[in-house]
Amino acid sequence: MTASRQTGAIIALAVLWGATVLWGIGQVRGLRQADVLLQNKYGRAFYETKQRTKNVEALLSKGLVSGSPDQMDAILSDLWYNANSAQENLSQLPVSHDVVARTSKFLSQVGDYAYTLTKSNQDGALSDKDWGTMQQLYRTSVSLNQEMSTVEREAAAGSFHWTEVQGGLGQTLPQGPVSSADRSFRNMETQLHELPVLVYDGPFSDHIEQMKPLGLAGGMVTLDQAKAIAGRFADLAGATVQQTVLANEVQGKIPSYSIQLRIDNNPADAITVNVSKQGGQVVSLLNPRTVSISKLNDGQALTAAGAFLNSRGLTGFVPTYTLRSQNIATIAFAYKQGNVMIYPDQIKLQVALDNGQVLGYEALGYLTAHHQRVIAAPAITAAQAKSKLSPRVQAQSERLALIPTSSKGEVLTYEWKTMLGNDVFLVYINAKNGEEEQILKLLNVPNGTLTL
Amino acid sequence: MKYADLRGQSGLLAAWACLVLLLAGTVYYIFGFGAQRHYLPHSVPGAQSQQMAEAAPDSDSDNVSLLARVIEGEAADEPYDGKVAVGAVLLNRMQSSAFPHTLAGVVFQPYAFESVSNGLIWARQPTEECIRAASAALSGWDPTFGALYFWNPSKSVSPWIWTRQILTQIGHQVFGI
Repeated sequence: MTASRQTGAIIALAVLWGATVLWGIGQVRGLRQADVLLQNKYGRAFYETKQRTKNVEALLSKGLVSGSPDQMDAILSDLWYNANSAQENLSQLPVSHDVVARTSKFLSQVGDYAYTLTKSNQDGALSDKDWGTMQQLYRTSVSLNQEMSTVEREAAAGSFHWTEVQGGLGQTLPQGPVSSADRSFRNMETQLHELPVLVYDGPFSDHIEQMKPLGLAGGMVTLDQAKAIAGRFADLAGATVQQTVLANEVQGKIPSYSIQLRIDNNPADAITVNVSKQGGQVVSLLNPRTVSISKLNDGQALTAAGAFLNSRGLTGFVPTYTLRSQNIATIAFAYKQGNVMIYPDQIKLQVALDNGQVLGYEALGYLTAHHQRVIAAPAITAAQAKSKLSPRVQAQSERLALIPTSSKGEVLTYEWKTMLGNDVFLVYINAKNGEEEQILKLLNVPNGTLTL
Repeated sequence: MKYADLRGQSGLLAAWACLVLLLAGTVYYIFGFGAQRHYLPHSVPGAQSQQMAEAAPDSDSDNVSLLARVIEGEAADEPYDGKVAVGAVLLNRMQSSAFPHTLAGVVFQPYAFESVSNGLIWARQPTEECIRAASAALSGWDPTFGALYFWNPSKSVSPWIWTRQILTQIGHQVFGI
């Protein structure tokens, strides 16, 4: 009896042990498969990056040689595509950001620069300045490719595996080196230490980061003055402020005091108002109050927003779009100078749809761009601008608008509202030379109008 | 006789103990693995995305929900303006030449965000507050005025991050450029 029980127990154990072993083998296999999959994914990203940077080098050298405008256009488009693809693949590699940041910036700028040249390069020939820039970029790309080859040799020789960094999963980017791949890439980055400063007409040009805000006038305000400004500016909807505290100071583009207005004892409900140190302007306001019902329609929300701006001395703003979500309306306003819409001078408001209280205010764009502008009269008439529109669209209405360019410049245009079928497009025609500067598509969504 | 009997008894006890342990292990494995599987992106049911789309039915709802997930993962316990700030950091990265130029590129850059690396963003549904913070950030609110990094100074971070210029602190997180 006991003996048969013992045998039964031994058999049961043996079966369980066998099952465990089989399960373990399956697990190991699965892990290996996942590892190979990841290794291949990273390998693909790396070899793709390498091929694309090689193409960038070849295309830059061809750009230096080409004498034909058509050929030049093709080269520049190719350059734009290859540089972007290289940058995209580079950012998928499992290395910490600080070791690829410079390479990434270089590739972004090459692509952006090539794109800008295709737009401006109407007559085909490169100016001496552009030729010089391209030569500089070419030299950098040569040393980049040499370093990429070193990394590739190390990877091929097995000195690192992309997936060895798995142990570092869960670590955040700022926590420093996570793999030996990092070490190989670090050499590459030091080679790019002296990146040329690139100033051109594109969004990644180096001049954009150095731009100073234009909308701040006047002297510095003290903390007490800033607190008073915040208290006067915020829409309290009848509540009284229990406590006004300096939460922090904000450095960067517009140095500010971040002031908290506490209306009850819970700091999480506090209204945060950022007041610029220079000029004492409110840069942004956030009120975390949640809104549970909608009582106001779009028109009433607009009226509330307009009244708020007027009472705060912000006059001359015209609403441009409204979007509703979570019982809050987000309304964008642009400044209007004379009969010209000034789109760079944008202010955004959030209005609670239960009582019309202003829950959000954002004027970073306005304070960065706003200044007293001298706007030249348009060189062409609205009718002439209309003739530049595609004959396939139905032109409906027009107004003058100053729009920002991709490099934060400004250009005076005619804003034509046009229809193609049921779709609405805003087409911007340069008021000086009649060129089409920009097209925006209006999206009518259930709760507002969006521009794309 | 007695001795042998005892040995038989203890052998049986040990066998049963092993059996119970193995069963417990199997149960733990199944449930533990089930929970982990839930973290994987492909298991996010379509029904949930549908709900998300209803919560913010605009053309940007895919961006709102992705951004809201990262905000939930990175700043669930932070005040509202701290949540908006985290959303703004991701959008600022898209505008920077040194980072990917799409939201997905920024979110899924390896080791960029802890909650993406450990799957936390798929484990939790973003709260209403996180969705609102994501919409505000996409509408242009940025309490940091241009930050590209954020970190929690009380957690261990690499010396490298302290070479960044600090712009401000909101809640527990420091924002820098």
